[in-house]
Amino acid sequence: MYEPDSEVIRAAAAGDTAAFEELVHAYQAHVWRFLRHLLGDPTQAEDVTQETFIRIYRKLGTFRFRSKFSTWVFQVARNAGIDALRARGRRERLLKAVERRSSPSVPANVLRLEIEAALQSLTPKLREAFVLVEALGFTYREAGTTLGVPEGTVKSRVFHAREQLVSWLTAGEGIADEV
Amino acid sequence: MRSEQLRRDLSQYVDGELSTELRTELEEHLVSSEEARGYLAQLELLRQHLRYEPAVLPPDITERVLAAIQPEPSRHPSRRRLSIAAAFAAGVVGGAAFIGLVLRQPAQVAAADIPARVVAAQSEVASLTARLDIIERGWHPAVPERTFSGNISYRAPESVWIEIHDTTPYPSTAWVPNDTSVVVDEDVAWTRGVAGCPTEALPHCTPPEPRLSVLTDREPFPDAASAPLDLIVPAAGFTRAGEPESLGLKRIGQREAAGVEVTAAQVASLLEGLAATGNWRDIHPTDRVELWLDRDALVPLALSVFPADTSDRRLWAIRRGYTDDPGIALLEVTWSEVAINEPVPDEFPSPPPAALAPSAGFRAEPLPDLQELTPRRVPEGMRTHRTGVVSTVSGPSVSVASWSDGRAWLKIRSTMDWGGRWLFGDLGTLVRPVPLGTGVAYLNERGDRVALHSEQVDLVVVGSLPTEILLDVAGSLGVIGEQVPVDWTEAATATLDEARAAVAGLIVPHDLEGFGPPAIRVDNDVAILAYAGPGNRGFRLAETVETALSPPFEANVRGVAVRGIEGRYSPDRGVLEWIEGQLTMSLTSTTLSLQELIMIAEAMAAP
Repeated sequence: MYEPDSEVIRAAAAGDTAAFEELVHAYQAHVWRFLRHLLGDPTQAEDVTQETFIRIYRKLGTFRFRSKFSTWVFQVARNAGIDALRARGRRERLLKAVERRSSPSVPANVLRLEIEAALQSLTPKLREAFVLVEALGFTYREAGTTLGVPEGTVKSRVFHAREQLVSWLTAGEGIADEV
Repeated sequence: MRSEQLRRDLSQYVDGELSTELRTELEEHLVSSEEARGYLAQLELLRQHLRYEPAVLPPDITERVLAAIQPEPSRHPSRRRLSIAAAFAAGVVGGAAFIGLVLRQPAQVAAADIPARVVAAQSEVASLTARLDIIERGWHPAVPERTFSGNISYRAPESVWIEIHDTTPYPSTAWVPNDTSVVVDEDVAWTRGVAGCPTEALPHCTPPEPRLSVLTDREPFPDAASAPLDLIVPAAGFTRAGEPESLGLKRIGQREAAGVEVTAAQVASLLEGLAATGNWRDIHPTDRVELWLDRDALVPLALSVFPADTSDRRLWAIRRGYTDDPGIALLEVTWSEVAINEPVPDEFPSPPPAALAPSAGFRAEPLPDLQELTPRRVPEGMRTHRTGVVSTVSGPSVSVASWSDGRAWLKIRSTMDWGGRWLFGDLGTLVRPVPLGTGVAYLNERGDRVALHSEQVDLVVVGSLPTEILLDVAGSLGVIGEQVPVDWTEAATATLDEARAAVAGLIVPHDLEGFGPPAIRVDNDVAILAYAGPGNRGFRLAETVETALSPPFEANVRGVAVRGIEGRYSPDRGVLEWIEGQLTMSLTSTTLSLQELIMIAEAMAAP
């Protein structure tokens, strides 16, 4: 994952919008992907990505260069995501998501929808660890720093997420046959 | 496979978090346990969908964020920034970087002109000497790392001498050192190295005596036993290349080096040049190569090959008994003490006496002023190199003329008595007709051969130069190219419009960087389009009016998501297939990864 020069971070913290723009460009796609999987809703992910970068801009002055900048960015994104999850009933969100997915305009990619739905069946704790490692390629250590938990906890959460997803998928029709 | 510990290990395995020791153990277990492979396949399926999901363009929220933090209106980020952002979003930064969904700092992407500069730099190198140091990992379980040192000498345009000495401390004297010699000196080429033998039978299967192979009467710049010129300047790997991903600049010894990230397929001729003889490990075409070139002379200074981190690559390794780690280079080569355009010996060593020395049939002689061998335009600086006639027992008599400028070269082969029912010049079955003057020329897939057919003569122009220059040379020969006769293989060659007429609903890849226009062939309601990129990178697209996939050939075919549809992928043959509308689509490549094929598929639309 991209790590900016410390001068870019300092310049952005000092109010240089060109430097901040560089940071947004570098991370927005990754943050959005993380939030899309965490929230299960691309539109809400877009709003929370925006919220994340506004928080980052406000908090840049507090970044102490003790961890990787990318880790810090995802800490902020994760907190914004968790706030968004709290702000609405998960059940309601799931229902909405299912409705949207079953609309005829969505391409009939059954497997991808199944995986996305299975992902949403995980608890947020398992899901956030799993998405950081699986979708974004974080090491256990990096994910641990981002989530504020020991490396071993990430290892265990990722494993349990996989166990649930595999059993979810193999219980469904057809998936096991395709592999 | 219901042991929880095993499933935990597999989970860490796909994340690359298992210790080397446990990984080796697990990979051995994978070979024998179908159930473990089944669970791994499920994990890979999740990985496939979540990490390598087809490029869904994320929104660009920059304007909104900037508006929120700085309320004054009318901020317009520059176009360049926007285009870079879009490229990042799609995971596509330049042709070679296609493979890596890796984010890089925009400021580091400064390698755009490297391909053109490499091609241009060929002319500047008249001679070169360098010391070579090589580390190879994973060749054999009993010999995890081998080391080599040697020398390379080059004299333009086509004389190369490479000596490589194996300095590995082997477990016993039963292992035969992999010492190699490669000498190409104008019309003579010879190699000496140990014969390869199956990994399981090593070390005892290696014959104690090295294998010697000699060829005399070699024509200039032949296809077979060609000089490994990409070890001098890697032009073959960068002609037709898109913008490679930059690794930035660094000092190597006394030289400033520019780094680029490419695939093993792209620099195949460089890697093949190193392993021209002897017993070396295999490298997968999608493996990642970090190549460092002298910033000014574009001569290679260092390269490292890293295993691609994909499930197909892992299975490929397991089948060969390799235990590769994506973080560890399996080949590292450094060129040091590099001297460019300094004196080198006038002659390189002759082949050992008493060796069988078959003739390739070339006889050097001055050629009379044959019109078809006298282009009115050759690139500036090119001088006549070797000329002569090739006579073989079964083939036609072929006149050959060649030109060179440093490592850059150009050759015309022509014959008056061509009897084949296909184009003269080994263009392959898929060719691309292009208008040339008032006639037509045919290009091969890679765009490095231009053929002309006429009543009197058949000829081919070939060289280490870009397609446009080869076409320009061919166009200055005064030969009007005719269409091939209807009973020749290439008569099925079609234009894109013809393909669209034959296959309704035809779609083709758009915005492909690093690939030339396709060679197209239409047989009834099947259209085949071949796209070639730098080095060995390339793929074929076949579209058939058919709404069912034929049963798969292999057992390990798996379902993949492509263009929002369920398709399937056969890793053994490198074929991605899916059905769309009334058409069956197949993308085939042994040199591109599944992720790249999926990205190409995602970029398909009506022509």
